[in-house]
Amino acid sequence: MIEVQHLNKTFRQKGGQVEALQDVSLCIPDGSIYGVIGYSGAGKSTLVRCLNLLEYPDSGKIRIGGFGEITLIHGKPYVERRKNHPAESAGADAEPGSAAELTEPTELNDPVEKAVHADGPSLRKMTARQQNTLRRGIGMIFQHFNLLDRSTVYDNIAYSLKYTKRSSREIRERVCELLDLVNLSDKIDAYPSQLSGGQKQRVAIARALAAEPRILLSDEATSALDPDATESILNLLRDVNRKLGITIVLITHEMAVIKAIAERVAVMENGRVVEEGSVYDIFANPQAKITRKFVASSSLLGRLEKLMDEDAELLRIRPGEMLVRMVFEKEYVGQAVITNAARKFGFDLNLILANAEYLHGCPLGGIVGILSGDPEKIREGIAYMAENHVRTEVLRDEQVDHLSAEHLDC
Amino acid sequence: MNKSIIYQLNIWIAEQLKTIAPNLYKYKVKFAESGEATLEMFWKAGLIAFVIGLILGTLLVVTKRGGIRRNPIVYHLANTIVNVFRSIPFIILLIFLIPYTRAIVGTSIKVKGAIMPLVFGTVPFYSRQVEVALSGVEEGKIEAARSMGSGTLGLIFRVYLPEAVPALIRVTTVTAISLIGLTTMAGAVGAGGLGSFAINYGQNQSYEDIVNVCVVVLLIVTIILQSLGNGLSRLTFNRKLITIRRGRKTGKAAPAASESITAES
Repeated sequence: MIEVQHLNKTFRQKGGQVEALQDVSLCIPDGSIYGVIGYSGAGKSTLVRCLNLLEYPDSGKIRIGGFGEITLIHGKPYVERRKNHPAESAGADAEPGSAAELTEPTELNDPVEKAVHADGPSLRKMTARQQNTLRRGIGMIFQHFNLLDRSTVYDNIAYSLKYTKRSSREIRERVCELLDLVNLSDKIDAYPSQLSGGQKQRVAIARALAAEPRILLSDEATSALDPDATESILNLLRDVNRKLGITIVLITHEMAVIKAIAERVAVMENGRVVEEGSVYDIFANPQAKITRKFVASSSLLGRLEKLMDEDAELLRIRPGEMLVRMVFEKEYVGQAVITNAARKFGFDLNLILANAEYLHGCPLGGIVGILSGDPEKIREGIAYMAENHVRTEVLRDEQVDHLSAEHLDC
Repeated sequence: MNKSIIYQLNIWIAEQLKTIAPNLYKYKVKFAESGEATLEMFWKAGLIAFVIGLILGTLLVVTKRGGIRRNPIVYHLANTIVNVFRSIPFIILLIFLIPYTRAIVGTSIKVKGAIMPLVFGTVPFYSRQVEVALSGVEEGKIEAARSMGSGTLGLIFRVYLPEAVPALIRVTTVTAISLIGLTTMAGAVGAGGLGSFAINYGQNQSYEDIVNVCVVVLLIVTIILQSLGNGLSRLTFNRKLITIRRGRKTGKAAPAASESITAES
């Protein structure tokens, strides 16, 4: 489990300051694929970089399974000093993913440390070695792959293995095993410049997984790839998650990526998490404006917003009509709720857009149409449909001539 | 038999030299000595400057703001030393350093006395060049290595230096060529070398042929250094200088290796 609490991070620059993270709290379950989506500058990159301390948050707490709790004070990481620290009982470097250096003698010459020491649990500054050990237990892949150009595929993958107590033969075996996993066994002696983008990212994944981390951070890993390579990389990540049970934290600005593999998602804007939940819920019922925008970007029903903006002929309604969007979830997709309602309350449905798709095996459907008939009856019908798990949202209603703008402007 | 051919070739060269540059021929022993002195200054000062410059350049990159181990004190110290020594014209540096050279090396004249000023003249320039070369290593690679748990030393020796090898070869070539230029000035402290030979024996005696030959020799050395540097830099780009074939037992890898080599060529 990865848990972050009240993370704050401000970048101070000459032109002012950028608040990259503002009171971010998240909980990422073990073995899940967790998506973080947001536009560039939303702070999502900073957030993952804080997880493996490539960046130090100004304040907050990070709890990572097997490593214990890291407390950030004034931009410096501290760990609890307990005799039976969870990370301490684990093996030495031979077993990566465990902080083994926690027994070093402590000197309380740091004023912050002293202050912290005075109240609350005893904390001590995290040493560079502890941080490196932590990082070794967390794999990371990047948008631009960041392979070492002057090393072969073999040496790239073996990079972190050299920090473990493996013999060269064991390293070789591990590298071959990883190349097998990413399906690139024939490229063992190739240089990165001889590989395609997708292949480079596969090597990067193998490299990140080399030291057997329990967590893999993916920073826009598919953003520089073509659609085919993106799909194959996402499939590989899903495989890695399923076969090895590795928790994957995936950052992206593409909703399609989230939709394809993530189970839960956090939506970020201006350094804050504005919405968080299971991908299905987020897609079925987005709340925040930015989430709606992201959902719209990856679904057919999203075109509606564009059509509304353009004031398309298709969506114009006459008096007595209502433009509605109906969303049905999971098991209710297959039911004839709408036609039932139409019969029962005597209104007509003019179908404009309809879509059904599967999200992690769950169907999600939606219909946009114009309802015509007695307004009272239509309202009763909408209430009836709501009882039957069809959420209806009135987009335009000629009766009151009201545009429910809050849902639509982007 | 081979020997006699070489011997005859030498004779022929000597004959040609005699007709083209009669004055140089007259001072051929002095010329050879000067060449030797230049060479000695070049490799001795070059080697020392290479090591110190590499260290200082790395220090500049590592300790600067945003570096992997930021340290304003070390950075500003190194930066100031480099700036101060870079701004002093070499000929003045040469004279300025005389007492210090004498104190440290024991003498301030001849080749021995010239090496220290040459190092002082080269290191600042070279450190800057190394700094630029290392700064060219993409930030992302450093980040990736950090995410894999590399500390400062790991980053320097496994990422910065190896990844910058082609760039380092290029800047080393440039520095080596400028060092050749500096050695010619070392004549000012009586170190000899081709520079002072050209002035004392050529210019001062109005023997143009001596000056010309010295120019040609230095030109040839420069061209050789430059093409050597270019070639090495190209060879090391995106690959190691020499690909070490690991003896692998997995049968799979062997054909792949040969494939990739053909792909390269």
